[in-house]
Amino acid sequence: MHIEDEKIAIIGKPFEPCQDAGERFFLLWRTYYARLLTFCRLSGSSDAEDDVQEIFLKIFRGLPAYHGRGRIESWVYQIARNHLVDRHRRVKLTTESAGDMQSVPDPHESVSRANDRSWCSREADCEPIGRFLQSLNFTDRKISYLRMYERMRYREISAVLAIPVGTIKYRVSVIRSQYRRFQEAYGES
Amino acid sequence: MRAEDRKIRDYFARAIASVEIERSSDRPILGPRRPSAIGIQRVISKSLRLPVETRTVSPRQSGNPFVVILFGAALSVAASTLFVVGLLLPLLRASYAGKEPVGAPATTIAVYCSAEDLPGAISRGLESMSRAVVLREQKEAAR
Repeated sequence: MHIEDEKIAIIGKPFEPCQDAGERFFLLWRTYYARLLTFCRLSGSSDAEDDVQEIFLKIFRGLPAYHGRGRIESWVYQIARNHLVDRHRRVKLTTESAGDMQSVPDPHESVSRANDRSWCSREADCEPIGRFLQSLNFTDRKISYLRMYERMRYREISAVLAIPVGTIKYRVSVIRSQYRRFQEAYGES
Repeated sequence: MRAEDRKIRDYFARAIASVEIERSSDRPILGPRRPSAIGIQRVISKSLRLPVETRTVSPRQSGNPFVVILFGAALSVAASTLFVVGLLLPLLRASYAGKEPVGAPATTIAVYCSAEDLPGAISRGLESMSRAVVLREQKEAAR
């Protein structure tokens, strides 16, 4: 599922004007669409497809400024995270200005649990591990996704989520121990 | 890699694979959607499989509502990339007949595509919008 080395070489090299900008963007689009959609859903986005759309627009605009420093994954997910934070702020401002303080969403807990199941498929939800991940808060889900699926380093996750490295390490160990306990409790092998 | 990490990773991999399947499935483009610019954006994006952007412009800015103006301007952003803008007011009006007040703001659809893909994107864009209108009409007629 991870992109191949040659694709990383194409996407990750410093941007040079007049050089395959379209091709590079399409590669990003194909490679990251599903991954970003999953990330947005993990972040509690109730309109993940629209969010992914806007994230790609930001990627498109930011591509000329990408100089190949750091991994492309980190850059892409940073844009996604910043977009989601901005959107949460906008929602909060709108809600506050409407005087509806009851429904102001927390940046990390922005949707009700009723909407919370939209981030993965129904079949996958039925798996014990799906139930375990559902039980985590949004931040821990994102950490587990970036660490265990994207295999990012702690400092990369720290940069993406704007959380101290020490906290990330601690949360990863907590997630692992929680999962072990979950496995024991539910007799999962 | 630790066993628990691998299990979680495999789970995410399956979730992402299901997104890919969902994306590639040949579903009608006119599913339940909101009569708003963002709904149009999603329809166009799904159909073209390209990122698109919508902006709302006033009826006066949109010009003659009975003239189909599509992909009116092309502005070079990077050498091989074009920023294509189209005014889709008449199609939107037909698509959302009875749902939007007369003189509602038009929606500008920007489609990002490479220069080589431009002709294809235009024809696919036209085709998808026409299809949306036809499906909408069929749906209305069925009611």
